[in-house]
Amino acid sequence: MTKFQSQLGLELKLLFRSPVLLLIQFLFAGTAAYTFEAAASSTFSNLYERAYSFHSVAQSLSVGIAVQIGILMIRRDIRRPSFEWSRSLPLSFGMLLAAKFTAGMAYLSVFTIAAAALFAGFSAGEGIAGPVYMGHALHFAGMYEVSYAITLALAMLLAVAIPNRVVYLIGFCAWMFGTFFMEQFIIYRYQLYALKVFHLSQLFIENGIGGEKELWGYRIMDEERLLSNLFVLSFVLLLLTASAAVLNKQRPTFHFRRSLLVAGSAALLVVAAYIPYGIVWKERFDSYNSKLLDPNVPTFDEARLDRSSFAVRGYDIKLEKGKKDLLKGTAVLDIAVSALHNQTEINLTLNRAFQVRSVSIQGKETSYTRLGDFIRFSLPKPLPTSISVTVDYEGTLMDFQKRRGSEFYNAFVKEHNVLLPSYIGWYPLPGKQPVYLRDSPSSVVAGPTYFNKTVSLSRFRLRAIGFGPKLYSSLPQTVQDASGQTFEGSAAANVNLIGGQLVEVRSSSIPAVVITTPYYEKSARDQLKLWERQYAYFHSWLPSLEQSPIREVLFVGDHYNLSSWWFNSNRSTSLFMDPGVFFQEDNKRAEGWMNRQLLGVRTGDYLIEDTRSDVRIPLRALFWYLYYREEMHLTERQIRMGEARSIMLDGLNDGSNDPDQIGLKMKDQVEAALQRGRNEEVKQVLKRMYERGLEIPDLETEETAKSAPISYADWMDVWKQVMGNE
Amino acid sequence: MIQIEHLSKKYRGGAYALQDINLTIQEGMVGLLGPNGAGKTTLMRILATLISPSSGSALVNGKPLGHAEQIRQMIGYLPQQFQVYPQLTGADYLDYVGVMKGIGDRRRRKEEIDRLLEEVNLKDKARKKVRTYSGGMKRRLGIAQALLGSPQVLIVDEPTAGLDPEERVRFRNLLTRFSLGRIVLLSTHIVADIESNCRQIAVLDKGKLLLAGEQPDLAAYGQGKVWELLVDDRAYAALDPMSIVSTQRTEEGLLCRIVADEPPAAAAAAGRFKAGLSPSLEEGYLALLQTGRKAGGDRHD
Repeated sequence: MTKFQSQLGLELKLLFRSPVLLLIQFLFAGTAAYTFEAAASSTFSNLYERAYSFHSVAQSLSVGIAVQIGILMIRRDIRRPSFEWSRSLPLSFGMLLAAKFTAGMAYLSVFTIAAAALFAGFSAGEGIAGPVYMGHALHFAGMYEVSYAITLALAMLLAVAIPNRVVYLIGFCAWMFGTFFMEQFIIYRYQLYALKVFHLSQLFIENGIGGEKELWGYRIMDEERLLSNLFVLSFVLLLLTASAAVLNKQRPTFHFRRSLLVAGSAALLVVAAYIPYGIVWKERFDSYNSKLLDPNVPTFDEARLDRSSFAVRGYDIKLEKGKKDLLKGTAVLDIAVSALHNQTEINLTLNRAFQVRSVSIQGKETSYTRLGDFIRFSLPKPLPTSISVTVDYEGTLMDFQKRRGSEFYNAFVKEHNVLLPSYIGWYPLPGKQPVYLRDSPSSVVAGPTYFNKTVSLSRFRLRAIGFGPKLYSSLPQTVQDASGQTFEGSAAANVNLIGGQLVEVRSSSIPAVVITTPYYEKSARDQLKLWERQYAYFHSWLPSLEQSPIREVLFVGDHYNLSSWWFNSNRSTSLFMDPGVFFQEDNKRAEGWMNRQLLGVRTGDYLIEDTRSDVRIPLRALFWYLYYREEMHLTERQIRMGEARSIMLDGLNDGSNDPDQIGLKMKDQVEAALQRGRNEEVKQVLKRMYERGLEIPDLETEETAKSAPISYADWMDVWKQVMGNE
Repeated sequence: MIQIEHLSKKYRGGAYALQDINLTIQEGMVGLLGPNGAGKTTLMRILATLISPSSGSALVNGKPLGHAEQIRQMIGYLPQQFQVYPQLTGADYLDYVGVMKGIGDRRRRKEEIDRLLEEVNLKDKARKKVRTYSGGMKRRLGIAQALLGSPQVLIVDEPTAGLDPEERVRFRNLLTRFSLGRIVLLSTHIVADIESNCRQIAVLDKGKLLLAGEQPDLAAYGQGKVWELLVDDRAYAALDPMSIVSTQRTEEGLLCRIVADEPPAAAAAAGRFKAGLSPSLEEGYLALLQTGRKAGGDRHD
């Protein structure tokens, strides 16, 4: 047996035979199991997100144990006069510290293994694919281990350097500061994001940047995390070698200079490891600062008053992802000259992250000026009736932004993780679009934060190549083959693209698919069953429901405001639904999908200020009232008492917008008719209303959308026609 | 052999724990005597390579203190205060120390541990956890760990503290046997601990070496300074308590043995004293301390 093995064996015995330390491990594992079990047994909660929340808090707390055992391991012998015999043994401090550190990590790894194994076990129980949960479990395990390593090494150095018992108090302060306070009071308050690397609980800090979300989450930070971990591990080495040097200074050794040299080398390694990590942040800050200093980034008012936009008749875009996430794009814009209003030069908006390779008009390359996110070029003379502008561009995209003190990424393409909202200008947008807005002299924000600019509808064709797993777009997909996907739409306002670890849940009875993340699949299946039932009910008396454009539902946790920009056209064939959206009860999410499929958007409902002039809001609710009465067999009293627990019925009483309580009158009419058994007549009335169109689009942002108010008198006319004079 | 030359240890406040010590220690048992605070422990910690001297040098079996790793290979050390991980059994603990001392072969290690446990009378308790040991048992375990590996130099700092008389005798004999062909440096402020076993003696006081020699050299310091007085209670109270070695009450009064340059004046006037007594080792030690302190005091003055 070697000295190291013997020392390690001793340290392991001392740690693992401590009843208190063992009890802590059992408590940790028990709490994890309880939390995961609660998440797994609920149909609607996301085990990954629950687990992430648990890990971020539990790991931060268990880091406190790392501090304690780090100090304890040093103080119980190295720092005790009565254990001076141990220092007379021919054992170097380097080996002693290595054994102590290894034993400490072995003890702490029990937390890691328990956390990762329990997560993996419960995930497997949910039917999650092995590679999916193993990927997450390994991520959790890696983050636990790195945090424990740095904390343990720090605590050991503190105990070596501070002989007094006050080191326990200092260790406690280091734990509190390094986990809970550092983030709030240093990193985000002063926007020193690069200092994240010194945070003792990396999972805790990832939580604030969407790490807890299953889609994308921590994956977009792979490169940063790798560099950060390399730095942290080199820092661990520095702390350990510094500890050995401090001890060697106190006890004579022939190798003191060598230990100083090793510590010095470790310090150089730390500096070397910080450089690539620092470069990542430098690039992000440079990118952000370039926007901040760019006079072409408009203020809110400048963007609002800008009239440089024009209609594009059609887009034909080819986007190819190459090595190192390099995007190469070719966009052909078909522009009717009439839309240009006699302009002699026009602007296109393309994110500054892309370098323009060439701009061609009618196939002939033309000169252009690049100003920030804008490309300006002159139009040929004389102008043909329509012009074709081709823009070739390439670049990588990881759009960093400071948002409310925290870091945020507006767009990115990182391996299979793709977030390309149209507003970011990943393809040339017409005119000067507010990709970024100057929020204040010291802040630049993404355009849609304040401003959704009206965009005319265009014909789109997009060919996406080299993105690996399937991409999803706000346009319908028309082709998917080995080389890529094609999306096409005849009247779309914009094109958004997302990609990541997503699964498709299909129904045999509904012409739609739910796209979700693996841990929401179970919930999505349950919701799909409800949706099928609702669809069957409404379809039985509204056959035209088949004409609804909704073909896809994206059911994913939203950290990136997808809901605010995903579908700004009521012709969208896909619908975004954040599982976190409040639906009074978890199992009511399917109603949201059905409602959208049945009745379309109601994004313009804020424009209806008085129900007396437009009854579409209560009218939409009446469909659900009928559903609950007929299909769910609830009585009027039960509905009145709130047993339906449906947000869809809220429109029956539109509060201050409905001073005459017209919504309730309409409901009473329906209720009375149902009492008389005239269900079919009620359906006829609703069907006739349905055929008039009950969608309430936002005309402020979509000028070409159709929106026809239905007055109470209109309702009464149809009612009387169907019901007679009752 | 240990050769110490001009060795000093100065603390941050400027006080000397050791000052210019020159000493040569030969094979055998060497007693390091001195009152509390004399610098015995500091000297032992330096020789055990736990701390560095401020100046001076020492060679331990030819190895300078700078070659601490090599010195640690050849020493056994028992500090004044000794504690062990309470969760371990005595045998487990000694096994750990054995590996650290380079006894890689498990069988040889076990044999040596069993022998030492027998010698320190802990065989029956070898499988018990150290937390169940009494203070004396822990001390014996400490002695065993210091002896493990048969070090060429054994440094034991007040090893008999906390041992009962029977254990003290047993322990002295153990060290005496062990010292054959080796150096055993034993520090104590109890003269009896070294009287029967140590031929070589070094006396320290206030960081200075007062004497380095053999037992008769120390006893010789008491020559002509040991007096036996017969005094009444009042005269006894007037005596310097630091000079009284022993007191015995008799029918005539109190019979005292004192160490002093001159008999007390009152006793001398009454002619109730005996001079020319043969000094014991302890009396020689006390006489030496008195002489040393006077010389130190004279220098200070």
